[in-house]
Amino acid sequence: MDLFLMRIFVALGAVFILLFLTCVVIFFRHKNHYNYIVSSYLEAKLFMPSYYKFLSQAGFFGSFPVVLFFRKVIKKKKVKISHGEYLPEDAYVFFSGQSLVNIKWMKGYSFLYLSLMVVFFLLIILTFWI
Amino acid sequence: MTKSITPGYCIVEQPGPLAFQAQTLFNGRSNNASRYFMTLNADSAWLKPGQILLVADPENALTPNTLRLLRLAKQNVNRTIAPMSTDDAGFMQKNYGAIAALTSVGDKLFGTASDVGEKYFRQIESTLQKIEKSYQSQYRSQGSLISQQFYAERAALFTELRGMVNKPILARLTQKTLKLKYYEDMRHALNLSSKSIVHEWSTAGVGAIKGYSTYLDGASRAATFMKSGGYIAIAFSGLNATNEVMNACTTGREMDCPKVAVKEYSKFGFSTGGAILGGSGGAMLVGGICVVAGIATGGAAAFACGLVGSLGGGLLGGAAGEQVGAKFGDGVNTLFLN
Repeated sequence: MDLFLMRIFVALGAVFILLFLTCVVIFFRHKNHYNYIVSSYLEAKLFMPSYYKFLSQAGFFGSFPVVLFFRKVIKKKKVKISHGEYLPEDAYVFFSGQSLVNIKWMKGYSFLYLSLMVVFFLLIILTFWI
Repeated sequence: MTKSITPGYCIVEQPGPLAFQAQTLFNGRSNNASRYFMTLNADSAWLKPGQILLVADPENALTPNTLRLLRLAKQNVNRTIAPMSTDDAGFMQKNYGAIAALTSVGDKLFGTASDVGEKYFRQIESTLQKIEKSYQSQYRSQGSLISQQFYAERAALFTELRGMVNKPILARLTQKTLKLKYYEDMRHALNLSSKSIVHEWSTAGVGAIKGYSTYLDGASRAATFMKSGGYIAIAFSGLNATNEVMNACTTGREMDCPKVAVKEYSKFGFSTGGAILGGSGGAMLVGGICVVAGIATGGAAAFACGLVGSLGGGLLGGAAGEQVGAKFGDGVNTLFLN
């Protein structure tokens, strides 16, 4: 049983490494698209949470929250920005005018990030279990 | 001018030429103080938010030493702001206190911020809103800001605010963030506009005295560290792992060398990945909690929430990643290297 769990753990660990490296590769392949979207969005004076603005300057290290925020806007989800206040319409309009090349990769990137989180949590649980 | 006053400086809030700054500060450019201001700052033709401008009484010439120190502080700030875009400079100007204070307070913040932070920042935000409303209603009803009732109301609100910021650790953060130390004597002596904010010269960060230019520099380095320092930290961590492996491979444990390499590099890889995931997850989680608690995501309080979440999540993620990496290394060794 222990050996079986160990195999699952190592396999999950390998999946984590693969997913993480894929994230790194995707980000650096689309780094110019990311920088373009971030700078255009901020130049258009559209709302972005203050800490995300800071993260948007941190390259790969800050990219996950920023991309997830953009994904919400692209999917036209309501984004709460303070008590009883939501993201203004102009942010949604901004993305509807963007070329697909600049934003399509974000879907896979955010999916990979969420998958990474799930795998990481499973690994933590298994670490203390086996 | 009857009273001799020491010089001060103001922090640019709106980008624009020097003449525009003089107009904003002095409500006009035809008086002596404004002309002296233009002469003192003639080296700065166009200004970005965050840069500083010297303000002094034209009838009390600056001593050469004070002028030299103030110019040094101004140069420090200009050097920090120069590579930034106007937007980035504006962002840094608004948040330098929070970034610098949080990076200097470090891990001491977690315990305090996690339990009192939400309520504390909400109270501060509410008092600030009351102060803003008091200014607006007074100006709307009277057309000026000089009535006794307004002064009394403003004093009560500022006392309330000071009571809230006078708490250990977080006091450092909020006092810098809110920039409470205004130089009122200068404002009255030079008849500056009511909305202008002037600070006393020694708080500019001149010589050994820490001040605005010091904190701005610290904040800028913290922001730069996020970009390049992250890679440097990873490289150091990788070197550390290599050092462990080299030790194992050269001190009579050559048989263990591959196993130690697998384990150490696994710990390094998983702790790096865990810290990055934890940092981003923490920022989103704590940021989300703050929004639910009623903190507006565009303000300095939300910024502090995000930073605390990032630092906490990064530390937890890194520590958990190291444990996972150690186990993964053991697993690979058991399954493939035995």
